Amino acid sequence: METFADVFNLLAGPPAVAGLILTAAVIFLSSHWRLSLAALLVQYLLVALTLTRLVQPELAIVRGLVGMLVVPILYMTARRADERRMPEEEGRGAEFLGISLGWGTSGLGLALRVLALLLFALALIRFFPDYLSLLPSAAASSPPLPGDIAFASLWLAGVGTAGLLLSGDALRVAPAALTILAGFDLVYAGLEPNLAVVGFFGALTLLAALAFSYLAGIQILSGSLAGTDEEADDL
Amino acid sequence: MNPIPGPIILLALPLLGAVVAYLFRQLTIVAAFVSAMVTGALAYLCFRLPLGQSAFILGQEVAFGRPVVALGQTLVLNQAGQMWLAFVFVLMTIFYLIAWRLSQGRSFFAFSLVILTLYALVVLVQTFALAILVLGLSVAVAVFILQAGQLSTVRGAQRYLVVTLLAVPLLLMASWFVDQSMVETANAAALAEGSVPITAAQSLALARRALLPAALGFGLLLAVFPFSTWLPALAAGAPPIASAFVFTAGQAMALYLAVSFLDGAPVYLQDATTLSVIQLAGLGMAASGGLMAAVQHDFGRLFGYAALGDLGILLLAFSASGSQGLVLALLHGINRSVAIVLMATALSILRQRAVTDRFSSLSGVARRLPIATGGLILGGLALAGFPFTAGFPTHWAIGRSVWNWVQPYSPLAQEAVASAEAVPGQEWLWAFTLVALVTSFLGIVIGLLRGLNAMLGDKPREDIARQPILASALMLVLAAFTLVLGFYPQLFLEPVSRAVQAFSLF
Repeated sequence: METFADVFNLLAGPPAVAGLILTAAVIFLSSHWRLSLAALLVQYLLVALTLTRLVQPELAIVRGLVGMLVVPILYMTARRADERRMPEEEGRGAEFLGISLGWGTSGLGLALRVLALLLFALALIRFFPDYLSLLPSAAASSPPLPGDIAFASLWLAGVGTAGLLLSGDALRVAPAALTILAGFDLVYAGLEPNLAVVGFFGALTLLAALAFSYLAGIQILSGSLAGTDEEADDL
Repeated sequence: MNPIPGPIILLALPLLGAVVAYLFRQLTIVAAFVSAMVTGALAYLCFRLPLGQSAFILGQEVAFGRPVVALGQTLVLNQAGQMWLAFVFVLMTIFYLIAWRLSQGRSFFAFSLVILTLYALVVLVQTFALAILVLGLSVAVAVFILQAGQLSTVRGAQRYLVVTLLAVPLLLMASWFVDQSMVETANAAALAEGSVPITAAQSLALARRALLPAALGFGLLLAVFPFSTWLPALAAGAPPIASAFVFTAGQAMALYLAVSFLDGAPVYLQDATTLSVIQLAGLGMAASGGLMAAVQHDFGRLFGYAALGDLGILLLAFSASGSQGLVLALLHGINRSVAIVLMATALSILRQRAVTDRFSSLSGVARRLPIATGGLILGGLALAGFPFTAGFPTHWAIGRSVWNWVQPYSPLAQEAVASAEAVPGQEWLWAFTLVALVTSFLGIVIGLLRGLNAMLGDKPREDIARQPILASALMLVLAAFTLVLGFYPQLFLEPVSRAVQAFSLF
């Protein structure tokens, strides 16, 4: 009979990595905040799960907790945006599972985002060996980083960067930027044992989410309630 | 009674000030007074207190250089950090006095004091990775004062945050590579038991892996072309004094980290490629900043591009002036800060009175706001390096250094040294340098002349309130200081030399 630890180890392997690849793709493709924030939450949990292979479980849990705090911060702003959205803004263009199918609803429509994702996937497959040779563990005496985690980290960083390039709204930029940080954390967590660095990295993630949330709030107010300065200026 | 350690003062005083400033954020005069008092006092302490011994302040013994251990980290102030913080605190005192009369948002005083605490922490922590993370935190906090509750575009603040978030992982990785190379060097030396010393080439090979992430990371932080789009976006959208805070104090901290990084891994500066890359980046920034400044349609973006071009000149100073490079770069940093503060103050008055800074809406404003107009033009000219302004002496010295550096690549010099091995394309370097330096100067001047032309008009604008008296007086003082620095550029040589002595870069 398999013990819980065996099941956990199994989940922390290829299933978690596959989940990371999927969640990053969903964040990149989806223009609906509910879907992208849910994917971000799952992504943070999967990052924590994957990191149990590299660091102490306590440190991995800290990463998961940071994610569980980041997502509600963004959720509250996005929820408010939904409440303030003008009725005529709703229902523009076709959607499938919250993913916009229209061309004009965001920086780029779904078709172009899928194309960008495919191109990036091809580039990643081509350049992954070069990336592996650049990784720190190849140069140091530390144990080498597992290939699947290295792949997931590059995927997260790359898809996050593509998301940054194609997005303008703070509520879309924030998950993309946080995806990049999560991808970096997958590599860096195993290298840096300093607890202060872990703590400050978590604090940076939280504060960045707060800042994005503030900017998104400003965008909402300026978009739908221009003229009500007091509310935003009260800070 | 034990003396109070310096790090405690540097961290606690701004935080306490931030609390008071936040509580009194509705009363600008109190918030400004408290903030200016805090930063003024800290600037005085940084300038006056020795690091090696204790001193008495208001009857209390203070040991400014005494280390403090907190959360397993040693916090200690070094000589360079002391001068850097003194510069930042002086700047902030000026900003607070200006912000008293020209509102930059209610959160400006409290949040900027929190940022100053984080800047002090950047200087105090001994772990480079932690310093990078703390700088990242400061940028996240800065977003709140850059947007300042304005219901306008968030592009500038958002881009600033994003580039910093991108820079942090790169710099953490670079820092790890450097640390690892040192560990491996030490291990190899221990294995060889001193019989086979580690050569410079081996050390260079180990540390070289950090070059790419470090170059990209600092490139993002210092707005090196093509990562510079956040700088003009910030100048266009954010309150001018808050923008100036980022362009001066924020960039100074990024520069401090860059210099600290190079000081920790001196092999980079022994490699000619590193200096060449910095130099090309500086030329690119100077040229692009000047070129874009010439074609802007508002003073905000013109301010941003002028600051960008001038930042390129600062990078040139660092890379092209040999052992005196850092001294020249820091002197230029001080001079450009004065010019930026002057321009930002004038821009604040303009935006406050005329509501907009778009050229098309400013006809006749120059007659109504002559001091603000003069401040804008003088500050811009100083950023361009115009004679008799603060920017000129350092621009001139840097220009000469760069010219000496590229002259061997000119066609005439190459003919004279025919035996020298030429790299393809390098014969164009002197031409590119000449074009970049001239473009940097002329572009900003042309942009200013276009703006001035738009502000002139037959009749003064009666719909615009007269210029504020106290803010205008402050601006006149800044303008006078800009001119004084043009004639006495050595005014700050002594503190700059003290800061540079702590580094052994060249």
